Amino acid sequence: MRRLQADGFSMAKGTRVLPDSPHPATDIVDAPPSRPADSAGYRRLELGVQAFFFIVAIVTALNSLDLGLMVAFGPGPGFFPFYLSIAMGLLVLAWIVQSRRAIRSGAAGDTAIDEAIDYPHVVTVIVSLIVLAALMGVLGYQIAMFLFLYFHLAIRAKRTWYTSLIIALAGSVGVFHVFTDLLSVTLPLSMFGFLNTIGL
Amino acid sequence: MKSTKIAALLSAGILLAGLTACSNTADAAGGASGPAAKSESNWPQKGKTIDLIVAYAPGGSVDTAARVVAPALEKELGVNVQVTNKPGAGGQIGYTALANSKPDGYTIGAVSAPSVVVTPLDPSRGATFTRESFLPLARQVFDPQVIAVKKDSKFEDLGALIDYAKAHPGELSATTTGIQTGEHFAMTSVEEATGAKFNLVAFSEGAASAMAAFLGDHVDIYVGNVSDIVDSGSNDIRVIGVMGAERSPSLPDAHTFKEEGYDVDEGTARGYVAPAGLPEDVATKLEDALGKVIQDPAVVDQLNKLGLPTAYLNSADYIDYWTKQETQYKKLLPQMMADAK
Amino acid sequence: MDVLNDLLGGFASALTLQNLLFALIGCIIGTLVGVLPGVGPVAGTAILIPLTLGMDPTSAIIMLGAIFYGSQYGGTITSVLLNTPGEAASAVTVIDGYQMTKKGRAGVALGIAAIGSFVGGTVATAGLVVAAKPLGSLGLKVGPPEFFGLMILGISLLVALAGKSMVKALLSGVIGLLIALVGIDPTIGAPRFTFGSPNLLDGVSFVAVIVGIFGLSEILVSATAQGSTKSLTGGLRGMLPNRQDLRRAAPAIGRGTVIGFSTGLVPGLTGTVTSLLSYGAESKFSRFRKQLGTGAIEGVAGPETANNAHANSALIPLFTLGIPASPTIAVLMGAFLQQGLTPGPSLFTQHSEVAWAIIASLFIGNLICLILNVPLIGVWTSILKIPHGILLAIIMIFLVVGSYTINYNVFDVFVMILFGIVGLVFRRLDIPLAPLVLTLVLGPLMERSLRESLEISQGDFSIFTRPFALTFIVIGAFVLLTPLLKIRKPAALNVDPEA
Repeated sequence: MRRLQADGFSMAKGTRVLPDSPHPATDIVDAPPSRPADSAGYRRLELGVQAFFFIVAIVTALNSLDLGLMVAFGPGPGFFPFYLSIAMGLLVLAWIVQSRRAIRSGAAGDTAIDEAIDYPHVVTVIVSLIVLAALMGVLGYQIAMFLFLYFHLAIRAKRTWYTSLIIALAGSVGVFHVFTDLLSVTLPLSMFGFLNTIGL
Repeated sequence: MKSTKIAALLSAGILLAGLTACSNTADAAGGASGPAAKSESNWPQKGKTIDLIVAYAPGGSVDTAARVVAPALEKELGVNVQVTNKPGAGGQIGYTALANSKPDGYTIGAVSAPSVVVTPLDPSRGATFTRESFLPLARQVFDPQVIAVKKDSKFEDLGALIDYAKAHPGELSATTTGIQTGEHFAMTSVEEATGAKFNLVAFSEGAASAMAAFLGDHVDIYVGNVSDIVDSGSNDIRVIGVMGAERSPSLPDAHTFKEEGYDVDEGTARGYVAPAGLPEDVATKLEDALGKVIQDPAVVDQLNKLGLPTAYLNSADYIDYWTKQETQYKKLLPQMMADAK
Repeated sequence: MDVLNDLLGGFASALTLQNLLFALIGCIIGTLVGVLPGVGPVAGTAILIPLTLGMDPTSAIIMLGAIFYGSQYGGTITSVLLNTPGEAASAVTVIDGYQMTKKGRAGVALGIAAIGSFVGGTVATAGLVVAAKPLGSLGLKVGPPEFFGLMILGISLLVALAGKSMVKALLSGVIGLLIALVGIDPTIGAPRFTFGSPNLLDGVSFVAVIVGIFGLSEILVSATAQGSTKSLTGGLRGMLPNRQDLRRAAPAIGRGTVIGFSTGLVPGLTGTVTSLLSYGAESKFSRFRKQLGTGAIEGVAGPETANNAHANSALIPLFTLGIPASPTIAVLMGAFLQQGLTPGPSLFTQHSEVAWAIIASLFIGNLICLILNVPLIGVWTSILKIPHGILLAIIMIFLVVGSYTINYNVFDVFVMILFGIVGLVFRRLDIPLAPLVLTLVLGPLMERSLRESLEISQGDFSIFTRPFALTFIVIGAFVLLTPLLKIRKPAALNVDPEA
């Protein structure tokens, strides 16, 4: 009862105070207005994620049993994971039911975000980050980060070679020295002795 | 005072020289290449940096002690000493990195017992190092464990507390900072030596939350290091038993367990090690340098301020001490793990 | 009256030109350290302690205090402008802070964060002056069972963070809890879901998760190689909060102050917990709660105020009991000790003058940070003028260095990348991120306090009927159940109140 009143209150005042809020969506995530999106792709992703979480729920539940549900004084290491994975399984089932209902009523895909995801961009960024992380321990922070930045600036963002060079140097060698010399925070050095001795 | 200034100037000069010479040595080292260039005899090479790995995050007492030692060691050896934090898994990440590093004298590490001793003893931790992976160079600190009650407690001394805990096993609760921590070993030792039984409550968040629960009367007995008591500066605490061979200079009125007739000697030991396989001459040089630095009055004084009593042991004694500790923990561990379950 | 005299004495000794200069320098260094990726207040302050060793104790502590405030504020800057939290405590600030930037209100967001921090910090310090002693012992009343109740209450707030779908919000929360369980368990020390990797023994790093889930996923979603689908240059419109903003933010700042101040008294509740609780409270109690997540000023004002109020009131347990209530305070405690000061109750008897000078310097530090930061807002927001491709590269430096320096381990960079992908998928499927972040922080605290409680009571659950604990649990259950009772009318939840 009281809650309803409060809602009414916010309705009355809210309109007046934030005129520049275009879409006061109720969602916490970046949830722009619904627009007919790529609903087949959405469905496929949704199904995949639902299946994945359901499998995770079963696997963790089984693992938790091995950890032991109870010990001398109450819950053991497996107690929380066990009940949480059951809760997770049930929630995934509820989600599946909801999305099936949504399909039947023809509203599927409505909730998808409006930005068309640029998949080549997503893959390039992720792969380049993985390569960077993998190389950091081998080539050292400076060389790996320099290559990474130069790739993103000169090749992907099509900046001129000198702009790219300057920023890439600042972001690799510059950042390295700010951290090691001023803050005594060490970033990884190269594994190779000969690079190491010249400070890379 | 004067001498330290001169030393600082000298080392600065040496550093500069090292820096200018850097490009030359770089070429030389690059030319010779190979993982372990034959440079043992001229260790420490000017311009190189000694990495001091701290297996804990910046700000902890292992880290602060290392950051006091590093500049002094820099002066003593005339090369850069850089503290590198590799925290994680109660020190296991850093210890593993240390054990796997090249034994060339350019990587050393700060270790803290019991964690460094216990981690390899527990198979579930999957540690890849053992006591033999390290060459202990110098012990710096021994911080005894204590048992404390609140000032308004009915237990005036250790005897009364132990007698009560014997008559009422498991009734009195005592703090530890988690499974297999120094406090856990200390209390297991106490139980074994006295036959008393306590209800151990693990505060895995650390000494501060244990202290809070103790001061808030949620737990009867506080177990922790002397430094925890001294650092807190609290007036509500009565220390009734120190688990060291002698009374602590910081708590002169507190009796030791030995005085009360119980043979318990437990505490946190901190020191410096190198990965095993260090050339003998390098080991000797490092041991000597660390020995000098640790016993330097300025360093001792700075550590005292942090509540960390210096208790220097040289390499050989430190190895003995470590081995003794390992034997003791091996004995206690099965009982402790059974109790937890 | 005695207190007032002491405090005035404190001001007299703190207000020297030299000390003001140190406060200013500290504030600048701190802000820079906070803006730099990765190095948050704890590591930043710890690393800079040696700088202050040669100074006299008052100056040293003043400077460190200023570094600490500055670095906290610096973390907010990257949260708001780059959607990448510079430190854990400003994690929730990204949600509404970055949305404000997208709407061209970056300056307003930073301004309100600075003002809120100042108010929260000053009120909390006043509390420290007036009633340190009784408040300190009040905090101790919160033992493990009460702590557990508080965590139940906190986690229950996740339902308030739900968007259109309660099921998805709860699922997000449960996933956060499960991730939080990775690592050595607090019960018997068994490794859980670590897959044999020592890197996971400490659990999944919170900062790596939030940096990935917010920062990286934003790059993946909204940007393309050539340009952003949404221009950020709008961030320059409206530099400072206007009167309307202030009026809207005032209640949030008030709530934030109360939440931050009271949680600061409880040892073990960190600034991150506090800011999350504050955000949860805003989404439950704010008049504009429906707008949270879309750039509502409350979502920035509340947590940032709470965070700073917490930082100052956490000094109360330190000064009255000698207990460092959070990791940052533990670092400050180290600084005190290195200066030869024991920061417990004896500080006021043995070094009363220094103690009061330090308290006075807290007021000064807060004020200087406000004075310094407001004019700098223009400088910071001009970051957004950087051409898109370059800004993208800079943000990626932040992501990588920020996650690497958590543990000085490349492993966390991979965690960050993984959670970037998770964030992308969650956004695509409209699963809210905030519940996951909330439970990821509170989950381990809940399990730990449950375990501690039951060890104290030797397995007897009646320990949770202690008055405070029971109160928290009942309120939590109520909060959790109210939306579920309405499950039959989901339409009501979807109605846009302003449509």
